[in-house]
Amino acid sequence: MSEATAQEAAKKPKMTTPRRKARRPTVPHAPRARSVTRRIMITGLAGYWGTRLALRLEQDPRYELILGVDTQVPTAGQFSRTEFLGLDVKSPMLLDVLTAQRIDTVVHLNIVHSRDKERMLDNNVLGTRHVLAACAEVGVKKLILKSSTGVYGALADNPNFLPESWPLRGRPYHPYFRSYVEVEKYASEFLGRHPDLKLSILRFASILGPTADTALSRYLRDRMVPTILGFDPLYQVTHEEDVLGAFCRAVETDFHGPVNIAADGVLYLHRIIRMAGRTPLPIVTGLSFPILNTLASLPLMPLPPIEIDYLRYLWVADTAKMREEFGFHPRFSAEETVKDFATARRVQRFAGQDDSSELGEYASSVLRDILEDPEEDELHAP
Amino acid sequence: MRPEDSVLESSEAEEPIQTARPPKRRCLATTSRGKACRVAPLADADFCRAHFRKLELEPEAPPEPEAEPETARPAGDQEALVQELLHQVERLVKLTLTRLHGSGLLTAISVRDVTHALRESLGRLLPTMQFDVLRLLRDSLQSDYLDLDTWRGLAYVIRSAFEARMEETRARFAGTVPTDEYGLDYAFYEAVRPIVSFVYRHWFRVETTGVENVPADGACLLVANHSGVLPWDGVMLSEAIWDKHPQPRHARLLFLKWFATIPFIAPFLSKTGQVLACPENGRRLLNQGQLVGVFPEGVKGIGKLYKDRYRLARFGRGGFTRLAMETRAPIVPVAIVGAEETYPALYKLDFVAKLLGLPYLPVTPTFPWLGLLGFLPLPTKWHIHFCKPIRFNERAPSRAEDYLVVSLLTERVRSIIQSALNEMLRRRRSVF
Repeated sequence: MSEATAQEAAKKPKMTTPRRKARRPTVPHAPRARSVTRRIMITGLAGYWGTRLALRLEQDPRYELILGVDTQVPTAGQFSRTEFLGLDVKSPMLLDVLTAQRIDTVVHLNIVHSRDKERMLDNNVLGTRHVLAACAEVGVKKLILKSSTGVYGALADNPNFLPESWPLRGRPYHPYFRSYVEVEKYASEFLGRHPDLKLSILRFASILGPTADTALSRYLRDRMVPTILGFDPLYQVTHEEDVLGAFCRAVETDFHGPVNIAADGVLYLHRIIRMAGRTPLPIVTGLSFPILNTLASLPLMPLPPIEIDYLRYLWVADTAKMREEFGFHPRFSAEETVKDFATARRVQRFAGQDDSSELGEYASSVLRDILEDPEEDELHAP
Repeated sequence: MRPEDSVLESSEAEEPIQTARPPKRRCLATTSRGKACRVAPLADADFCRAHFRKLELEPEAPPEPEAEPETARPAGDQEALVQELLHQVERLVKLTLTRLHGSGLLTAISVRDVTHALRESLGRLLPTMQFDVLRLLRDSLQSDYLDLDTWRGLAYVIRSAFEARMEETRARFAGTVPTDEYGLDYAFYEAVRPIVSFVYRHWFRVETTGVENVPADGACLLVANHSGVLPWDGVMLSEAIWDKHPQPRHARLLFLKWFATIPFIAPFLSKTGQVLACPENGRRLLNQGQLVGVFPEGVKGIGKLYKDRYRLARFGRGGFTRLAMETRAPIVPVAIVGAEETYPALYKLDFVAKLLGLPYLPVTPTFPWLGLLGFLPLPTKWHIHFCKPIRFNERAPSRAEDYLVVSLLTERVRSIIQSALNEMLRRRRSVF
């Protein structure tokens, strides 16, 4: 490939924009940005990712319609032009909406994680199947699914970098990855039957960031973080901004198939815990984790954030395809991501305290009267 | 006179020591109780000390310029000073040790070992720290042990070593120690290396030949015979390249899947830069131009019985050959002699091993009987030989799927190692 680009560069040494041309990967089916205006539907608009993605897409004038669908009503007044429709994705009305609004791109984010297995199966698996089938029926051009690199499963014989072609061996009993594995299994069957529908499956590594509530951020919530004694697997992370960036990239391009999305760099789990300002608490494998899992299954306790094997073995994904074919380059490296998360958490601890920046007119006039040089603190300057 | 001393002397050629040595030695020879002399200075002991003082005065000439702040100096100047100090300290070490040898104490420590250890541990310190440590070491070596400065100097040396260690621990706790994408942690590797190099030099006394056959850069695949019950051969192989190669390289050895499931071993392997043995990892590493080591015999090799020693097992399915052909990485066959006898496996408890989920469970003369002592390898004498590299032309990648070519080549590598082993065994006189 490098030879080909070199030849190309030798043939036309001085074009108007030679550098950009040379940099673009010469993959045969590289996705090209389409110039047509888009009408986008986001399912699960009221969720964290749905809301943030809609806010991001609103700013791009190329997209003429952004339509959100959810059973929950999103907080009022935060969107400028996103339209909301209170509708369950499993309802037959979805077909009518898709055709009436001439939707060409669907971002399916209506995946919930809950203790209720029945609800999860109903909403995630059956919901996704319904959306896929509906899109194929009405001729939606493009469908984007969110998934996780956890679908590969954490196994002792995983190679250090899992390619997209690797079989999905995640054992679907953990609530977090269960939905993704089942959805992906169905999606891969679906891909064969509908080759004209562009289906991009974005497999994100553990997502971390200042605001996102994810499996890894819940895992790093407490001061002491349980790990497995004698194991320290390598972890990959993705910054929440890069998650949104990857969705935007997927909306822009006609990428087809699964792609791993992760920040540059691979960190040891213990290092992530240390960087987040937490202390690892190594636990003997055979004994304590069943107890922890039992405790976690009680209604009072939160969900077990990460399954035991994911704290023990490798499940790092290869991001070569993300760079070369999908054409996405994360803004944050793995270290920056963890640092960003840690800083946000540190600040949150003090967020409740009043910094009394609002003095009011009278109080400030009193202060101005006695202070010699009422300058703003340079710390506050933007 | 020991041979290593003569080597040291020729390299330094210091006249004052040569002239000063005879009276000192005579003095010690007459009164082997050297301590008594120093405490109560008699005429005879005084005479000895006077000579000693004369020696001390001579290297004290350079300290004057050192009194200035070291930070102001250019780096090259500092380097030269450190080298000069190092020479002085080495000379003093030699002096002290010959005195100790003369008095019949500590005869086991050779001058070469001490100077080598000194240079090695100095290499881990910062330049300014090296300077301080050396200066204090020199002052303490040439001074009396009743002198307070000696102990102060000693305390300083210990403190600086302790501070360096603390700094590293703090960095580890703050999570700022960097690793590469396969998890290689250089700080950890450096911390482990002294143990490994002790085993390499003094326990197995490894003799390494043909290390120049390993290319200095670019992809290369080392293919070695596997033996001994615990994979000491892998550790020694990577140490051989790190220690003996003109341009030290880090060899990434591919380990068995089973090791990834063992607590403590799995992170240890990954922190020292080893990766799981699978075609994807091998291809990726070779494409990145790294040095990869494989043991194609696998469990069949490492778990073989003592009676089958140095008889190579089947070389897998030739996966390593295919990888080398695909990536056109040269294959360097490596023959390791000595590892087979570290744990002579007399019998294999296959049934118990299956119950415990182990790939093998051998019975050695020491293993189940002596408990943890059974893990101690026998101190056999090792020899590692790197054979001539096998290089591939541009036609190789297209024939990587050709079963016939792959199996012929695998067999060829195997026979190269086997014949090298036979030759080395013929030359070997003793197992220890």
